[in-house]
Formats: sequence, C-alpha cells, structure tokens
Amino acid sequence: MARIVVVGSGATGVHFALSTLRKGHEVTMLDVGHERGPAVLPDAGIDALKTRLEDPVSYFLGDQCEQVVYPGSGKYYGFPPSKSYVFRHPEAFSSRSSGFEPVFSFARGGLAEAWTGGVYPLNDHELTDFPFGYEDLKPFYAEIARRIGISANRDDLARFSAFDAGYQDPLHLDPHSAALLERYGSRRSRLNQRLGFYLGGSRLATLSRDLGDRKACSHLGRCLWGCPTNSLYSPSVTLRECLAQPKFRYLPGWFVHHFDYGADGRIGRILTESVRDGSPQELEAEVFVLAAGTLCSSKILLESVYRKTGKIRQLTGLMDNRQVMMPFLNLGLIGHPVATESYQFHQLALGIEQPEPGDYVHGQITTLKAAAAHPILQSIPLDLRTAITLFRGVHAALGVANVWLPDRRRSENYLTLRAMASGSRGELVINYSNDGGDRQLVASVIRTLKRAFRELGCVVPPGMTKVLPKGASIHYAGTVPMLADGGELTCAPDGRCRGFPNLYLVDGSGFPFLPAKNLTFTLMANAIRIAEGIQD
Amino acid sequence: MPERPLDPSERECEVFCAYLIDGRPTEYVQRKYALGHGAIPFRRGANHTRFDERLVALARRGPWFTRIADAYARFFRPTSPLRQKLVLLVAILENAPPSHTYLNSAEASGPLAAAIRALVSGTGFVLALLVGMVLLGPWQLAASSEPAATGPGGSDHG
Repeated sequence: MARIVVVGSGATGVHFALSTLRKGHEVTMLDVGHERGPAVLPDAGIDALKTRLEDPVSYFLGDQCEQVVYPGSGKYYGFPPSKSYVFRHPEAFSSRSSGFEPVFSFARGGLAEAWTGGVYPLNDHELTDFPFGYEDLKPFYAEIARRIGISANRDDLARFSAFDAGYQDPLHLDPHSAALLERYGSRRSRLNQRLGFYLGGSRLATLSRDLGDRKACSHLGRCLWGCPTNSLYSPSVTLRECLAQPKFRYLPGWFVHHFDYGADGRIGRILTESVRDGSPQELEAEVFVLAAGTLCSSKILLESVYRKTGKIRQLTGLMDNRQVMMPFLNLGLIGHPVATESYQFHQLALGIEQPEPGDYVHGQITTLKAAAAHPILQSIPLDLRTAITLFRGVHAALGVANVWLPDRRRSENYLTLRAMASGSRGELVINYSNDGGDRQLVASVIRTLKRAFRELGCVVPPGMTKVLPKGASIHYAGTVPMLADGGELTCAPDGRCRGFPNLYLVDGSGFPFLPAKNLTFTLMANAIRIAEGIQD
Repeated sequence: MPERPLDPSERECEVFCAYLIDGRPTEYVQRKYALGHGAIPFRRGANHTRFDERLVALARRGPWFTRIADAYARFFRPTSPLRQKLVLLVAILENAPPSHTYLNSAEASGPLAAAIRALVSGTGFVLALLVGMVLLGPWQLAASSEPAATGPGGSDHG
C-alpha cells in the first residue's frame, strides 16, 4: 500500500483521501486548516438567535461592525464573521492579479465551507473536451451522492443533468420559490420554445432526511451564517470521516510551498513551513496529490519547477465562469409576509439552451428571506427611511438570479510566479486578459432572462443587473488540463501530471473546459475517479 | 432620578433612529453604534469635505433634517460620512432586538396597502429631496473645494 501525501482539505482532497484510505493506503493530509468555530445555539432559528444572543451585532457584523457593507465599497454582500475563517490567508502566501479578482481559502474544508450547495452532473456535451465521458463519471457521481446526501427533484432540468445518482427527496420550497415554479408550470411551453428557458428545483447538498450523524434541514434560516446542524454538506464532514480511519494523519497548521524532485521528475519530499512560527518541515512519500484548489495547487507546481530549474513557467488556460447577477421583483408577492425561517440559499435552478449544447447557460434563483437588508437598502435610489418602507412592502417579492456562462482555456489567461528576494518563495501572478468576446453572449443571456422573468410575473429593476468581474464566481480551473495527449505540465486522463510520475492533481486545475454548471460535484466525483486508479 | 444628558454620539444615534424607524435606540444599540465608528470607512481618511461635515451637523438637528440631508446625500454625496453613519445604524438595527423584527419582517397587509404606504413615503422623499436641492445644492458648490476641518477623522461623533 502506498504512502500518500495530500495537500489541502477541500472538496477534492477529502474525497480523494477517503477513497484511498478505504483501499488501505496510508494518507497524510497537509493543510493550513483555519478552523470553523463551534455552532452557536444550534437549535435557535434566525429570529430567536438575534434575541437570545448576548451580543448579536458582534455575531452578525463583527466586534467592530467591520462586516457592514458601506456605500461605495463595491461589495454586494459581506461575509459574516462566522465565515471569516474561510478567507483568512497565511502570511507566507502572496499574490497579485490583473483582470481577475481571486478568492483563496486556507480553511479546513476549503472554499466549499462557504458554498451554497448546488450540485449538477455534467453531461457528455459538457465533457467533450475531457478525456472521459458521463458514463465513466456516473458511478463516482453516485458515490459522492451517497456520501454527502443530495436533495433533488426530477423536473425539466433533467434534460441537461442526468437524474440517476440516488437523490433524497427535495427540500420544501419557500413560498416565493414555490410561486415562481407554479407560474413557470403555466408558461412552460412558451418559455421552453421561445426562449430556451427551463426552470426546476435546485439540486442541493442539503439533507431532506438524516444521514449518519447529520440532521435533515430544520429550516432555521441560518444557512448564510453557517449551518448549525451540518444539514448543508461541507468538506469538513468528510474530513471527520477520514479522521476516524486508522491510516489517516491530518496535519493542520502547515503551509506547503514546493516539492523536491529528481532528474526523472519523481518527487521525493514535500517542503512545508509552520503557519505559527515559520519553522520548516519535510515529508517523504510515494505519491503526492495536489488538492489545494486551482490557484494554490498551480502555485506549488510553479514554485517547485522554479526551485529546481531556476525557470519561471507559465500555466496557461486559467478559467472562471462569467457571472451575471440579476435582482428581480415578483409583482404577485408584494405586500405578502416573508418566511425568514426557511432555507436561505437558492431553491430553484434555471437553464438556457444554446446553439451548441456544451455552451448551456446555468443559473440559480435565490429568493430573499433573512439575508442582510442594509446592502439592499443603500442601493435603492431613495432616502433610507423611504427605502425601508418600500423594502418592507416588497421584501417577500425580492429575489436574485445568479447565472454562469461557460469558459474556455485561452493562452492569454495564465498563472505564473514573480520571483521574490533570493531564497524566499515566489509570489503568484494571475493574469486574465481574454474573455473570448463573451459580451454578446452576456447581452443575449440578460435579454433572455428579462423576458423569462416578465413571463414569470416579475420585473427586473433597471440598472441593477451586474456582470461580475472574472474571479468572482470562484469556479477556477484549467491550468494543468487533463488531456488524452498533452505536453509537459498537463495531466494524463488518470490525473497524473506529465513529467512527474508520482504527482496527481485532483482539483479544478485539471479541467480542460469549464461548463456553466457549478463544478464542485464534478470535482468531487473526478477526485475519487482518480483515487480509484492509484496503484499499491 | 433625572435623566443624564446625552453625549453627542448618543444624541446623533437617537435622532437617526427616530428618522429610520420612528423609535428610540436601546443602550445596546447606542454602544454598538459608537463602537462601529472604529471601522467606518470615512475615519480612514477617505476623501470628504467640509460640506460633508455640515451635512452630518444638519442631520443631527432632528429627524426631518436627517431626511432632507439623507435624500440629498443619496444622489449628490452617496458615499459621504452621513450615508455611512446611517448605513452603519441600519445594519446594527437589523441585527439587534427589538428593532430586528421591524427590519427583517415584511409589511404584510396586501399590495394595495403596500402601494399606498410607498406612495406616501415616496412623496415625503421627493419633498425632502427638493428642499435639499434648494438649500444644500448651493452650499455644496460653495464648500466643495474646502478640505475637512477635522482631518481624516472628520466629524466623527460616535
């Protein structure tokens, strides 16, 4: 059995580790591992939480109200203090970027500690550029569904995403989502045929019935601040499963900067430093696995090559989904009560057909329930008193559609290093300069969405639709792509990095194409597909 | 026991609360509002003018003055210290009992009542904006070139 070192405890790292542990391998996981705090009053609903906490403002806004979203900040919402551990950086890490707004995580569980749980399998059209098809991934999607628990409904979106992974029943829809779906039912043929617009329930990594020690969603309304019952899956759940395995060693508090390899490319050891005091540590193993997320895994690879050869390389083909954010007002729900204690994230998903099936556009609809009001109030073109009055009248009618466009690898979009002072680590440089001329598609998607919302009895307030900058969707991929036949610094179909016989990349860096659908489900499934191929 | 006199920060919080929610701040809200000024952006030396200070001073005079100043600032000084202070207070009020129930809930009395309320409030806004433009517009033009008298911290009671 092999001794394996896995870097990172995010969605791919933990599932890769669990699969290899179950096969009898010995796994050591290196991680910076900023940890989530304990759940506060786990039985309290969102309203009760504000009443029962001694200092609710510190819980929701931070000790100095530092998470308030101020006018002119350019932010649409603020991550609450309970999620700040997800985005904290170790001092040893630095980056600079152009045309790209990157988000990094060094948390135990990675970026998926702050995800919204959308899980959709890719289809053969979307996997065209991958060196495998849907049938190859299908058993791994099913295994992930068993591990994490997915609630879903068979509906119109099944034409874009197969419905055969063994799902739980869907969550109860909040009243606004239910009203939209009902209206869609009466307009289906017009929306499908004229606009290529399809609506259905979100497929969610949130439990509608208990799974292991995780409880079914009890609709406390606290999703945005961290699910206190672990009903919404996060990778730290699987990390706990790994920790129960005798051959697993988890080493938090270590920042990996590079690995050391021989003339044949075989890696002998990985070099890390303590986040606490900077002291170095080396680890030897037979197999090394990068699962730190596209940006961080790529940086480790670049740094390793630089240390060995003195050459600064480029990893081209960085991708991120273009994201369009469109708020809307459902006229039929003006003056209705709002259900704050309900599931807070998206409960509806939408699909927009494109001439090329692989270019399918995917989105999710989140209705407004308990989310912070102050970022919305300040954006209304009225004084705040009037904005509050108006907001209270339309609260139950507000929602937002987040829509993603696919992205393709282009050589102008790359990662590289900037050499720092001799002997110290390099700085990650991110350059994104070619969006492939997606303006036309963005404009067409916005037009389609506006027309679809009109059919659904909603209006889109003028001037409030945002096209977010690259980097904002946090779906990063493509820098070391899996190709059937590729050159150096690409991956073979089994996830092994060409030029490094005992190095595997199991995160998004290996994706040769970035479809519009949320990629985490496929990331996890691909990680265990690669794990199955690891030999003794 | 006679009530102790309010300090400028508390007075400002009282007036702004009356303007925003027709209510009085609890002691907890007062404390959080004062504390929140530690991280408010204009305290970090953001670009603001003497006019911004006057806008805050005017808003402190009473809820009607706050409304005039806020309606004007929304369009002509949208990132001013006044707007930042008001947004800070809204953020606190929506998370602190008992005001959270007012800001987190909806006015569920049907679409007609919601429309009438919006119309009445909207009329108030238009009036406040017009008064603001007449009174504050020339003042802003005259004062915009002057730097803030109190340096980066500005007029920062609270």
